[in-house]
Amino acid sequence: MSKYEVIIGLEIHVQAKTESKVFCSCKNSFGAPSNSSVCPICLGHPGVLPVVNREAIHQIVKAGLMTDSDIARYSKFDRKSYFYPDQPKNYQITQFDLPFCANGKIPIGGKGLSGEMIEPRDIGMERIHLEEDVGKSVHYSGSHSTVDYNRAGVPLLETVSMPQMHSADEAYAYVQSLQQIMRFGGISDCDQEKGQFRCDVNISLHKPGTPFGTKIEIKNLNSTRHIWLSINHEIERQTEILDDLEGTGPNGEDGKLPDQETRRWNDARGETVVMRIKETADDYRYFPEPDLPPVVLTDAQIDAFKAEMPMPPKAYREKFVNEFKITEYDAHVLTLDKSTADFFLAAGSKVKKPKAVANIMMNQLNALLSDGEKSLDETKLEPDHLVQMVKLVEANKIQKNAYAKLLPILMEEGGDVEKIAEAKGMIVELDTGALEAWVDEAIANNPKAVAEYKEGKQNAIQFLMGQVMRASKGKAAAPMVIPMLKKKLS
Amino acid sequence: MSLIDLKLHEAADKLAAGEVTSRELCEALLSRVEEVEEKVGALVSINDEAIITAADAADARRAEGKALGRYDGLPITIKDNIVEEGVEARCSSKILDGLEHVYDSTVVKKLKDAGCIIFGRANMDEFAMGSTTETSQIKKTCNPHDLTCVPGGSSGGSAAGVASKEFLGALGSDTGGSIRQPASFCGIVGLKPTYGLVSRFGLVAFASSLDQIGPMSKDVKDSALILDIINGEDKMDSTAIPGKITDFEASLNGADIKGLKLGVPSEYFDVEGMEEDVKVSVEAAIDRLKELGAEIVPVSLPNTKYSIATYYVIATAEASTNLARFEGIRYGNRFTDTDPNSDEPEIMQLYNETRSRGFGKEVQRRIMLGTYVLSTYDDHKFYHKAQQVRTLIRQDFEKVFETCDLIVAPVSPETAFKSGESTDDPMKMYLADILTTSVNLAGICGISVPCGTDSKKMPVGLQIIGPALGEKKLLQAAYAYEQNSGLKLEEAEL
Amino acid sequence: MSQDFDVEHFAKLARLHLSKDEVPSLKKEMNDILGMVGEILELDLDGVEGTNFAVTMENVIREDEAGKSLPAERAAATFPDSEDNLNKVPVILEDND
Ligand SMILES: [Mg+2]
Ligand SMILES: [Zn+2]
Repeated sequence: MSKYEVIIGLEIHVQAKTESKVFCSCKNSFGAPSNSSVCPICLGHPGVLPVVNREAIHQIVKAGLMTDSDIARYSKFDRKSYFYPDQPKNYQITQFDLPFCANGKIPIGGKGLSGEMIEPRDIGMERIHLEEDVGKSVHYSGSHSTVDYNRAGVPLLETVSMPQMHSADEAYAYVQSLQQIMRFGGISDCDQEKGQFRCDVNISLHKPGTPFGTKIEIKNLNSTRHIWLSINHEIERQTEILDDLEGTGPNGEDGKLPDQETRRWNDARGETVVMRIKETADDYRYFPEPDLPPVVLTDAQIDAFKAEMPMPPKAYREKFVNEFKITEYDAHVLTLDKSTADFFLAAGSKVKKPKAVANIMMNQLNALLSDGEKSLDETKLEPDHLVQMVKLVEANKIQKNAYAKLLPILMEEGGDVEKIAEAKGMIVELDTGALEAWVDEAIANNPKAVAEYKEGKQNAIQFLMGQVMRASKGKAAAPMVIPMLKKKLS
Repeated sequence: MSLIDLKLHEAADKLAAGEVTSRELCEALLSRVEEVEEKVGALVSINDEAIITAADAADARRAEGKALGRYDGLPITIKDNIVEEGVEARCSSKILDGLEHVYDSTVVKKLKDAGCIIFGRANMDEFAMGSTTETSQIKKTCNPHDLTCVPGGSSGGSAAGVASKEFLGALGSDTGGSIRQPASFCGIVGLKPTYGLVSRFGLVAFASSLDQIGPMSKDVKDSALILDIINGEDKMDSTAIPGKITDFEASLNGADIKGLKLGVPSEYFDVEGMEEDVKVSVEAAIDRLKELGAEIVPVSLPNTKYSIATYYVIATAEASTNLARFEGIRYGNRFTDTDPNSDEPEIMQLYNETRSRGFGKEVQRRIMLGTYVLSTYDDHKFYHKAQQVRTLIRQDFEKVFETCDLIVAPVSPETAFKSGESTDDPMKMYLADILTTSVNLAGICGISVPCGTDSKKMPVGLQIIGPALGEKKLLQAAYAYEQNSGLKLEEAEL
Repeated sequence: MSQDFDVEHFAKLARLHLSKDEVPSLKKEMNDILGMVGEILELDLDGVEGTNFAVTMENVIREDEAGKSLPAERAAATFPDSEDNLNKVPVILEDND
């Protein structure tokens, strides 16, 4: 690892799900024909005024509650001025000093994109504020640009993390966790393809114990993979610059500090590149939006929001670890998406050992889903199927190896687990007479293994066991076979 | 008596009685426009055909007994910063050329719903920035009482057209005195309603927290009539006050001012540049009010002296953002003859060219000032201070209104002056607003009523100021004064 | 108080192009105006709450109901230049991924 400490902060814009836009009644929809979801208000025509959407406020408060944020009792909107053709009024209605949510937490954990485990902890989130999205521009190099304003005015939640992440993996985990929260809350699908999730990274390197280094911004990242790659590239790039400065790099002490600049990810080149600096970008001239009176929330309203708040991923994980007795890591994997978490919650609640359900889901089921490139929702599998399977194993009616055979059928067609097991001959043979016949057959046909066992080779009994299973076509109740073998050979 | 001499309320009565048709009314006014517009310059556009069509429709409704109400068929003019669908609203600027609007402002909708005919668009200072209508990029408006003088501003076209009888009544907008001051300069009545009483949806914003649409008319009753039509809640304007008032005009019947307590703020008489003639006329009006039974009490509004500074900081700050949308990208004029040798990107040149050529100098000055006061350059020092002083100014009024019903004062320290006198000196223009801006900063209501003339026979206005939503009392007092002033005001001769 | 208004900086920020010869007179005008409005800077207003809003109303909120939008052709007709109902403008960014 580098001798420098890496400091990463993330600013993430998430489009909130609503029927209509945040300040006008145009549809909040993706993929409509160009400029077909616009009106004088979201086009910034002269004379128009904004009126704020109740659901947009509901969504941001929900996001705040699900991230343990403080919810502002008094909030207001502000104007942020900058000229850009996709910004219809050349100011954005956003929030400056009194955002709806402050001091939240985003839990991270699980595995990073590098495959390494991440130490579970909470990353601070400074704020979430509500603002309007801008139009979408497309650039035809050297010729012209075009702008579609359908997106202008879509409600955006801007989340600002504390600069508390130290690696690309941690940033990845933060992004993943934030997306989960938004999806679990029904706040946003965070569909990157549709631009519902967009990230800016702030990153600096410094030697521990010395002041923070130059902050570099990487803008407009719309994929988690790009976030991860660009951070790693930036760490490498800045490390080289700092090494130079220290006299340990290839150019000796001629180096200089990294330039304070805005960069972007060039995926084709696999590196970050300098973005043409937006002129005077920093003087946004914020001031309170005179067209929108303040929003005041009472404790009772916030309590009501709380009461109907969906369960956040963290609450699922806590329940899974504390009540279902599965590991942190397993809980993490099983809460990556809401349908999986709900599935496990439903199935796990109905069995004595939820761990057994977790194992099926993490192993056989996961493999089958990823082979078939399907999500759980797209199959006919129900939580009760897993409950029945586990119960049949507990009752010694089927063996664990039946899972792999039963699952594809259930996913494809559904049905009654026991009946399928019967029809497919998976019910275990418990009759001692039948068992003894198979055991005797195995002993008779394998004198070599018998001899080895008698000489003290314990492994030989496993071989004989395998022969019994083969003879029974898998139906022999394994727990009863070994004692029977041992008894006969003693 | 000619039809152009009618007041709106008289015209309404005649329409109801079948003594006149809307078409006759509009035709009389159109020929008056034909006759004097060239001298006065009150209108930036007027569509005769559309007016006649609308008038005929109103007459047809009335003939069938399906009139939309008392106001059906009444022609009313709107200021050029009020949006009407299918029509350009240029705000007397060059930057908006070519944008045919795709929606109706709420006031236009209310006028149309009431059956009123939109009778042309009145000239104004560009984007309502000015006090003489001389910053208009479209045409010059003259004061009908003396064509060499300014009509005041920014609603100068609305005021001049009422005074010249080109139209019966008009809407203006008042951000720092833009209804009251031209009303006073042209000898008509102009009312700035309480902030939020009239929807701003479709009023091209100058300073969002100060702008308010209001009536400009020949007499007080007409202002009440117009206010009855245009006031009321609006789901398109978050700052519009809930509810709707329908009896401003009716409440004038039998209005008197016996026992009303009227505060006279000394600060409004001691200002720099106060003309003796103005002072004399206003003081005479106050004496008359006393004779009519009002109780006159001296009061103090100590922060009046800071109102200009406060107003210019807040108004220009808001304006600098409101006017940022005019840059030739989405609508209006796009100046594209860019310089290929420039090191500025083409799009930046487009912005700069469009705004420098589309906006007049006064607008550019105010945008620059507004940009400055909001910039981090100065840590928002100006803007925050101005907001604090705004609080003090509001509190001044609140305190006075604890004991007084209304306040009486001059509208402007001077009467209409010669054209060209203030255009070279922005400071003179700014200081002229000293007696009107406080009302906007406090969000309360004020009216200008003619109260005499100066030695050059130019009109003087009496300003009556009321608390928030104090319009009824305000109109009643103005009406009682107007009916009993004993003044014989001369009409403009053209 | 002495202020020196940086005309060029604020013109740039406000997207206004000034010709060389208008700078000195504009600078003087802006300095005069700043001098006039500067009087409020001298006031000691500690503890005075600023007026952020012209109204005392709160929570003016609309229900989340989608309404009518403009037909795309009508919206595009308001653009100074358009291409397939998109607003066509000069190149915004030279580099495009
Ligand atoms: Mg933002
Ligand atoms: Zn819209």
